[in-house]
Amino acid sequence: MLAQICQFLGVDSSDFPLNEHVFVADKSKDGGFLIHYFLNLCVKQNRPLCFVGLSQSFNHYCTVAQKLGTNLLSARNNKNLIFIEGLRLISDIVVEGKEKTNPILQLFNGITSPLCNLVYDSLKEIGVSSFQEHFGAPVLIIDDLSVLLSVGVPLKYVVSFVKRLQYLVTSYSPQGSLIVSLCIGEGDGDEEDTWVHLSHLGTLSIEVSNLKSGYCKEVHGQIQVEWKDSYLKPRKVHYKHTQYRLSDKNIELFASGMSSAVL
Amino acid sequence: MASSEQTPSFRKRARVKIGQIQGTRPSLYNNQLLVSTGIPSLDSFIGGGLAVGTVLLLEEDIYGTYTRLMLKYYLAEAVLTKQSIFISSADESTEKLLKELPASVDSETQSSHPVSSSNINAETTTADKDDKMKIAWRYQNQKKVQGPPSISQFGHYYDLTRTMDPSLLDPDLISHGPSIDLDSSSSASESPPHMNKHYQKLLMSIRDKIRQGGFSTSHQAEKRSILRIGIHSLGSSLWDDDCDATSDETRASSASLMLFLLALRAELRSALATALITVPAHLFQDRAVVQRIERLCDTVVRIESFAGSEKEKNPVFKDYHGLVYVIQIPRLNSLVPAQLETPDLAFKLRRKKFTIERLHLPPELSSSTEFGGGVDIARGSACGSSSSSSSKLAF
Repeated sequence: MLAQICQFLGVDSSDFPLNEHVFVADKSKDGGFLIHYFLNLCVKQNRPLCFVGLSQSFNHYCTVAQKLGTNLLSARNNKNLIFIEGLRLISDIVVEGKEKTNPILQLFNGITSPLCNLVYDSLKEIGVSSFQEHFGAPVLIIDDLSVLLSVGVPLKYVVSFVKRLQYLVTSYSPQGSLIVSLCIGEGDGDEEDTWVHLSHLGTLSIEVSNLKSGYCKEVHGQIQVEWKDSYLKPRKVHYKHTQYRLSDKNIELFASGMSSAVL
Repeated sequence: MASSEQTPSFRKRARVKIGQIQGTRPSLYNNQLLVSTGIPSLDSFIGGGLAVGTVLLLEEDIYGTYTRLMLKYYLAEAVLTKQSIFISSADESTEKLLKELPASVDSETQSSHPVSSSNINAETTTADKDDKMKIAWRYQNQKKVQGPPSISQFGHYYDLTRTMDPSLLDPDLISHGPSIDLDSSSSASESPPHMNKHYQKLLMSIRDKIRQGGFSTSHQAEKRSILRIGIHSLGSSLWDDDCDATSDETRASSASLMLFLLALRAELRSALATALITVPAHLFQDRAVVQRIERLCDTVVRIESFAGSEKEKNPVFKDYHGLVYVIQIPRLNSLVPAQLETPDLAFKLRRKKFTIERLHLPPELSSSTEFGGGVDIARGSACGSSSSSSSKLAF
């Protein structure tokens, strides 16, 4: 699966993403596979990686990674990967007694620094710090930002949180990458607005959506990729589009209407 | 999850694992532990059953009749497989719900002399002890004639005309959610904005139940069991939700429900428990809120009954009582969820059977009208190869 997506994106699987700010919009409930793709790609490259899991527990990512041939547990033990259990943090909000210092709770009031510091400290723990050179650019992945919106964090704080993280990862040398996924419900104004903000910030945005024609067993959806020109990455703006079909461990990518079921 | 049990070495390993927890089986699809929803046909559509550690969301039909019934099936299944129950409802008394549980179809002979769980244990251990010559050891685990019927069986059928024998309900295995007192002020003090106090209480008691009942996966125990959490009509006005009409942001009012669902997910992921939640989604004004709720649950099924709707009179639907939309199948621990053949499902209710099946057109309709032409049922399966019988017009 990793190879196919790399090939589609036209990138080298050994050094992608290099100082990219990737935002993944999931309009279909199926787009989670791209996060697994990035996660496994970075672990395979032995990059220092910090993963903030807001929607699922570590176990889930671990089991999927196993199917894709990566061992997240050993990566975590080797201090290449650090996993922040965001789901646990959120559930602690509800439980009385642990409330005061909760970084996500602070986010409700517009204080982004505790959560950013948590990320910063986690990166430090795996040997990434801003003042020294280290091998491998760090990667920060957030899955999925819309959880913050759902639990009631106002849009502007969510966006400023992402901006701070972006600043954080670029402050290292070599500069790191930020990968954020966001679920977008149909007609959900807040989420759509957030997406507009994010795609403005990013250097690469990927949209996964359902087929307009409805449910289909053979074609699960489509992917639209936009490479952007930016200050950090001067290049030609270009687009790519494909349809996909997922299977247990693999993905088939094909141009629109070229599904093997049709031909 | 590995609890060591004394088992003969010649048995298959997988077998032993199944036997460890009553009423569960591993998924053929991704090897997760599954429990039945109490409706075998629903199990088959959502990938074999309900994965342990996940939340099933039922979006209620207009009068809530059928989802309430499905909740009862879910709980009755727990009683038959000796699993624990946690039940909570704001709309009606939980005792009443439990009293109305339907009796199992194959318990007709058995209801005269019910067997309590301790008896079963005694029975099996004595059976182990008087170790006779084992010629056909394959059959040694088969249930005794007088034993509880189909205790290891996965999914049962229930007879709606009879209620379950109250003596089958083991009070030790049943716990009720906290009572909801609408008089107390709803906003939960200082911290998270709009956190509903009732949800907070409910979550705390679920959490305590998981810890104290030994349902946590980190807890080591000889005999493991599953906790089934049933929450009826979550998000209805009786939970004091949406009460802050003064709040200018409508979505902020749903935030406490979202927080609750996320926290519940976090608890369940590390527990031997499943939850079934019914939500009156048709009462929610904002579609976006419903979508967010769906995303925070694992399996989502929407029920649309024909009662009182125009579809009741439509000849296409005369064999059915309503439609079932499987909106989401969990992609937990895998890249893809189990795949549906077709999204067009319907249910019918018989005295002894609640069946969900593919929607078929009645045969006489096909002769009179153009196949698939005027009938608006193939709307989900528009794309070419979805093998539906519905249209010749599809390309």
